This record gives sequence, C-alpha cells and structure tokens, in this order.
Amino acid sequence: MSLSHIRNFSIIAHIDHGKSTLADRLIERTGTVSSRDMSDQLLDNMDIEKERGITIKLQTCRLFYDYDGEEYTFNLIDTPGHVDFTYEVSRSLAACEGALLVVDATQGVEAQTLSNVYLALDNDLEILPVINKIDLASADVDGVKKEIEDIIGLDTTGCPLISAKEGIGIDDVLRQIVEKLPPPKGDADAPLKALIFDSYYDNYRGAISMVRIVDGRVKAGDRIKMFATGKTFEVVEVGVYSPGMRPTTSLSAGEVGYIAASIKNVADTAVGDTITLADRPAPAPLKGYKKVTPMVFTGVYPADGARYNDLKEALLKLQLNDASLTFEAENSKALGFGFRCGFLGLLHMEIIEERLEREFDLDLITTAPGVSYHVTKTNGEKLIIDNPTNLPPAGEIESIEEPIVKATIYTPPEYVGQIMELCQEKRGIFIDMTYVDTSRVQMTYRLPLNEIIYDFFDSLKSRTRGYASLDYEPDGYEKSDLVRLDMLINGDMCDALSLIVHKDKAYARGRGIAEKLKDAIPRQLFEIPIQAAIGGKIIARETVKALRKDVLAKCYGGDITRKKKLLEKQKEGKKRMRRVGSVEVPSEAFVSILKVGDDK
Amino acid sequence: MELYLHFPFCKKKCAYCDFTSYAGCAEATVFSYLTALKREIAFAGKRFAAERIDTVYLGGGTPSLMSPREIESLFKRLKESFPLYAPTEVSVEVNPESATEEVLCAFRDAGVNRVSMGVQSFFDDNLRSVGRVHDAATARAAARRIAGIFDNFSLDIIVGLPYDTPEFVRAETEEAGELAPHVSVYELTLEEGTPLFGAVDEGRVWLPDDDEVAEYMEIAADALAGKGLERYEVSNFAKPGYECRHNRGYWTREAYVGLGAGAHSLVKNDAEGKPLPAQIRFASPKDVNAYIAGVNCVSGFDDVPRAEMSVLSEGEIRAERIMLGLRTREGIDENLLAGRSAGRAEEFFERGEGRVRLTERGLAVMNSVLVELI
Repeated sequence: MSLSHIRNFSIIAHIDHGKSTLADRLIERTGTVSSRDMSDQLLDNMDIEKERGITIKLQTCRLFYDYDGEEYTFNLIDTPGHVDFTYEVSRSLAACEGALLVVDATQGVEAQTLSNVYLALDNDLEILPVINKIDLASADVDGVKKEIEDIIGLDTTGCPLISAKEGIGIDDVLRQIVEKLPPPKGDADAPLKALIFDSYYDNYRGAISMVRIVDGRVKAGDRIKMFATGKTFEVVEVGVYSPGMRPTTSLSAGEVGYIAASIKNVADTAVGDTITLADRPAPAPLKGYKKVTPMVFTGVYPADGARYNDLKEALLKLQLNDASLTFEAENSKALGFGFRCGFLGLLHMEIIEERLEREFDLDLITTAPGVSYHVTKTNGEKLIIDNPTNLPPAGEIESIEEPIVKATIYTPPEYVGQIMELCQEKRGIFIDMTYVDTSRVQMTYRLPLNEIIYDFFDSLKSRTRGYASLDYEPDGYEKSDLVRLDMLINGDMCDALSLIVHKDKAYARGRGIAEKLKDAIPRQLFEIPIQAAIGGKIIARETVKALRKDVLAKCYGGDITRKKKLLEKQKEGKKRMRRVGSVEVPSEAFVSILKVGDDK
Repeated sequence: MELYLHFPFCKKKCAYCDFTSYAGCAEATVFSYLTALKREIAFAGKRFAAERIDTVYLGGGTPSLMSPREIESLFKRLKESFPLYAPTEVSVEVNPESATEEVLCAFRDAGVNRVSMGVQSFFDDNLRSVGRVHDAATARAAARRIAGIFDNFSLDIIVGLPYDTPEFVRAETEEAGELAPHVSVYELTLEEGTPLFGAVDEGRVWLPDDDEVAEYMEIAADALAGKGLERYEVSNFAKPGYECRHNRGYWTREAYVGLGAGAHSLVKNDAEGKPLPAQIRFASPKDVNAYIAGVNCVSGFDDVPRAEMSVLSEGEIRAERIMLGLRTREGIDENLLAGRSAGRAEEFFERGEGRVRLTERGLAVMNSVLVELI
C-alpha cells in the first residue's frame, strides 16, 4: 500500500460535541459497516460508554474511502473526551498525522476543546476544524468560526459544516481528510519500529498490542522484541480493526493495527513501548509516553467480606485493560480487607466502580476519595500518604504538601461572580481572566485537587446551570494547613471514615458527617454517641438514641414460622453490617458520608 | 393437645389487618367453608384420637358472625370427633357489633367458657380512622353483656393508633382493666400491603412514632397493674387465674392442631400417640377456596394439602424455646442458654432461681435482644 494513500487521524472534541456520532457517520458512509448493523456509537463498546454517551477507552477503525476513483485507507482513532482521560488522548494522537477538531455550533470552544488542541499541536498534528450541529436552531456558525480563529488560531475558511446526527456534510469531511491531512511518512524497508499506543487482554489471544507502524513491517511468524523488557515473542496474528478485529497478512510503515503474540502478561506490552524484530532490531526505540500517575485515591471494599478474592480478581482483570488503574491491598478495622485504588480522576473512579459492580456483580463499599499528600516529619523523614489512616500524629508532622491543579473554566460572563465565589470557597487562587468574546470568559485558577474532587464539579455545574466547562492539569505541590478528621462511633475511631481536610473546613465537614451518620445508623439497644475529632479534640457530636420498641406484638394463631422468619431477616441484616467497636454500622453509612454537602 | 379453629370472615376488613380474613363473602362460601372445616375436624379426630384435647380456641376473622345454628353444629362436630374431648378452656373471638345476646348464649350453650373481644380503642376517632365497624359505646355495651354471661373474658386494645395520646391510652386501658379480668394490649404493627400502610406511606395518616408507642405500652402496663392485672406475656395482662391457657400453650410449645384456612399446627406425636422422629410445624393455605378444595379432595388428615411445612431440628426447637419462653413472665430455664451471655444486652435480663426473664424494658426491644442471643 502506498503511504500517500493512507491517512491516520483522531477526532478530538469537548465532551458532548458529537465526536462519537461523527465517527459513526464516517464508518457508515464509507460502507465499513452496513447501516443494518449500525448501532449508535459503534466505537463505544462498553455498556457504560453507550449509556453515558462518553468514550472511555480509545478505539480504532480502518475505513476505505474512494476519492475520485482512487482508494484511500483511513485509520480513525477515537479518543475519550473527558478531562480524566487526557493521557489516552495524547497516546492516540501520537499515532496520527492529523486530527479532526469537532466544535459544537451551539456551544463554541470549551475547556477541553482547547486542551485537546494543545495536545494535538504538541504532537505536530495537522488540525482540521469541523463545525457540528449546524442543524440546530441555536447554532451560531459564524460566531463559532470566529472563536476558533481567535482563541485557537486555526483558519476556518472552507471548513466542513456538518450535522453528524442528520448526516449533513459527511462527504465534505471525508474529502477534506484526503486533501488537508498529510499522509504518514516512514520506510517500510527499514528495521521495524512499532509504537504501542494501547494494549488490552483478550481471553483467547492473550495480550493484544494496538500499534502504529512507524518503520518496517511485521507479519505472522515474525519474532518480535519489546524494547522495554527485551522479551521476545512470536507473532501469531496481525490485523486491523474495521471495526471488529480482522487479520491481514502484514502491517507496514504508516499503518495502524494490532499484533497478537500469545503474550500472557499485559505488562509485557507496556503502552508507549516500541516493538521491533528480534533478528533485525532497530537501533533505538521511539519516544515513549510519560507514565501517568493516579491523582485520586479511595478504599474499595467488598460489601460481603467473603468476596475479597473476587474483588481482587476483578481489579486484576480491569487493570489488564487499564494501566492507569492502580491498587494495593489494605486493611480497615471497620471494613475488613480491601484495596486502596488510585484513579486518574473522579469519572475514572466512578467508571471503575460501576464496572466492578456490573461486570463482576460485586457490591462495594468505597471510602471518601482523597489525594496523595507529601508529608515531612519532624525527624526529616519524607512520606507519601494516600490513605488518611497512615498520616502520622500531628506532633510528628513538620509540614504537609497537597497537590495543586491549574483549572481552566469557560463560562458565559453572567456566571463569573458565582464562579469566583465558588473558587474562593474552595481555596482557589485567581490567576487570570480573559474575555474570549462578548459571550464567553476564560478564567484560570490554581486550586487544591482535594477541593476539586470533593464537590467542585457538581457545584460548578449547578451554579452555572450547566454552562461552565472545566479542565485542569496538575500544577505541583504546595504546603497547606491540613489536619486529619476522625469519626468516633461510641468512642471507637472508625478508620474508614477518616479524612484529610483543610483546617478551616474541618468543623463544617465534621458536623456534616456526624449528622449524616446519625441518620444512617439505625437505633440499637444502646445510645450511640457519634463524634468528630481532630487529634484528641472533639469538634462535633450527635447521638443515636437507644431503641425503645422492637418486638412482635402478636403471634397470630400460633404462627411461629412468621416470627422466626422475621428474626432470621433481622439477623441477616445484622450480618451485612460492619462492626465499629460494639456498634453495627450499615454499609450505606459509609457511602452516605461521601454525599455530605449535596443538600445545601 | 390444643385445638385452634379459624373462621376467616369479617363484615369489613380493618385498615391494619393482613391476617387471613375475607370481607363481603357470599353466604354460600361461608357455608362451604364451614362444611370443609367440619370435614377437617372429623379427619383430625381420627388422626389425633390418642390425644386429650385440653383447650380450644375459635379465632378469626369474626366468629361472632356465625349463626347460633352454625355454632351449635361446629361444636357438636368437635365433641363427636375427638374421643378424648375434655377441654378446660374454650375461647372464642368476638367483635362488639356482632356479640349479641343470642350469639353469646349460643357459644355458652356449645361449651364456650371464655370470650375475647376486639375493642381496639375506646375512642371513636381511632376506631373510625382504622375502619372498625363499631364505636366505643357499642363496645362498652357489649363488654357488659359478655360480663353478664361469662366470668372469664378478655378485651383487646391496640396502642399506636392515629389519635392516641398518653392521657387517652391511660384512660382506655384503665377502663378495659375495670371491665375485664384479662386484657391484651397490642402495639399497632404496620404491615406492608394493608390500606393503612398505603395511607401512612402517602402521608394521609400519621401514626405515633416508635418512642411514643413504647411509652404507651409502659403506660398501659402501669394502668393495668393498678387494676390488678399483671403482665404475664409481652401483650397480655390478667388478674390471677385468668391467664389464657391456650395462648400459654403456644409459648411453652405444647402440641396444637390448627384447623381451617391459614391455621398453623405443631405436631409431635403419631396417630398412636407415640413421638414422631421429629416435630413438625405446618399451615393450611390462606386462600379460602384453596382450603375448601384441598379438604374436599382428600380422605384423611395427613393428606390435606399444606401451604407450609417444616421439620424442626434440635437447634430450631431450642431457639423456639428461647424466643417463645422469653415472651412470658416465667421466662426460660437458664440451662437453655448453655452458659451463653448476651453481652451488653444482659442488662435486659433478670436471672434468678435457675430462670432467665426479660425486664419490662427488655420485653419492649425483645427482637433485638433475641438476635444477640440466638
């Protein structure tokens, strides 16, 4: 295949701007999948992706397009649109020469539009703007064009104006992909260099590497070598996605596809690694990716302690396809055995939890999400703490640093006041504010990540009626006045409820959690005091009053069975509870405290 | 052995009731039912020919809706069927509006020596709010009528009804204790699927909360004690010698046979009166037509179709002894607990003379204590 007839590209967009719908149309229009087999959002394989209308894992698809009688091969690499998955976007962009930038004609440029454009520019990609949803009454094509030119600096002359939903302008997009996006470069005769931009575990074929061939070629039977580990494997199959897996005789420079080589361990197909041939290796690997580090941590426990091993298996399986998920075993006095899991962000966390519950049929108890702190002890020792329980006593702490992010917020001007108020409440530091045009403001703040993961996003959406968009990136660590907030139930500290919070917020949080716990813990034979404490100091207290009535008044006509069943049920319910000291705490109590602050 | 008979028909179903009872049934259904019940009595007489019948209890529904002829015929069948029929206590349940002189006399003539009347409240607003057919004046008149015919009778009171207040609960339980030598006080249980449950769920009816109901129960116990009625079980109060023997049998795990729709049995012996390899509990179908059809298609007691059946293990029997025995003033033999302690819940117990009983506070939260224990 001639390189000049290949186009490798991604579609980038802010969430909801129509990226997956456009991908569907391109697949449909090129006849890759007949419309009979079309299900909405083909590339979103997971149920969660389809339901939530988001892309989580990147997907690729090979399309054939007839341009004036000549056949072109397109490799479309779909990308996630959410801030949590920026790293996946950057990976897929590294496998492309061009990108379609989809902008919603009714929304204009949003926070992630911009961050994705920067990622594309970092990778030297040619960007083709595409304006979507032109069929909607509120579409402002000229305004959006001007925004793209003013904010991003892209020429919008002649750019495709489309409605992916209605199928308008799709041919124009296909033609311009050929005309405006560059073909790949590369030498099919040079030693093999294939970039692994994703990998996943297939139950039948082992670990599969999704690759972009930069130089050389690879075919079944070849012996390949991984640069990172030096391990070699025999290739069983190579092929492309269209969109299902389809074997081909070989993959060569410029192409995108997969390599299956009976690799048992996904760790051997590390994303960002370079594959070469064992007997004709390339002298040096390609530039890899920066390793992503988890930003949000939470304890994940099986509601039924006996299912610890099932949870472990499930996490291992998910990790095979999601290298950004980290976990290690931890032990809580209240919740038993579980795992401290690290996620890229809150959405990533929610999705993993949902997949664990759905795909593995697990009931989970999760602790409040937290971040990773850098602690310096008075003896000079430095610690990284991602579990509040491990925070040393206040007397031994010299200082604590917390992660900070730079947040970019796009909003209509009328909400600027509310956003400033919110950012101030969340300990934000104002950096910059610019008017993009008369209807849009870009605000930049530095904010503690700890505040972002609490309820920032929900508050932002509710205070701006959903109009503001948010993007953020890590921006180092800073010293802060942080304390550990502990909850005591009947005098016993409940490790699963401990939090690290800013000193100024501790009182309100402590009170809020105590109130929630009071409602969530059922009355028992004895009065149960619930206290919030910092160090040894009690800062809030609530009481669950002792139960006064719990008896079956009547045994109807000797119906003992019914009474036995009721007691049995009561006993079952008790089994599902967690014991903190002598008090039974229902699983829901641990979850309900995550929602503190929702009802203000 | 004890006998329980069930008459599952009412004039009107009360808003809180989820028991086996049907309102507005045709005469023909009632007739067929009584015919089937008498057939089952005859079966039982053969199956339990070796057993002496110590107590009989005719419950409902509303047995006082039966006609004098039906009453006579039902009890005649009992006496004819059981060779060792020598009950010391024969109770029936009646409702105020149907406890007429005629019906009460028919019961007395048939051998009934104890009547239990469902008053539920001496407050008309309460009675109306849960759909009772009678009013307070009718209940008072009926109680006096019963007192003229029977020495031993009981009045049922429900606490936790919508209009209850501490003053009112005291007044009505005092009145009940004044009128009768035996009073049962039940805390209202809100059962899912009942009209009252729906009304509460939709916010149309507000009930006193658990703490208030617990307080009402304490008030009732105090008021009845003042009238000389001692609490001998969670919900039952009596002057000395007026305790209900039949109900006591349930709590001490006497064998009993329940006849009629939805009735429960605990059987220990075979037809020769020898112990079965294991004790069994079973119950008839609640549905009246299913019950009738079931009885009519078989020719012996052991073939009557049952809706529930369980064979009891030693462990279950022990758990039952604890769960039922602790309901009573006598409590249980300390050895039943095999040295086990209820932990902090011990403070709800009184121990002495080899027995363990629940304190008054312990009775109120008995289920939670039991869960700690069993």
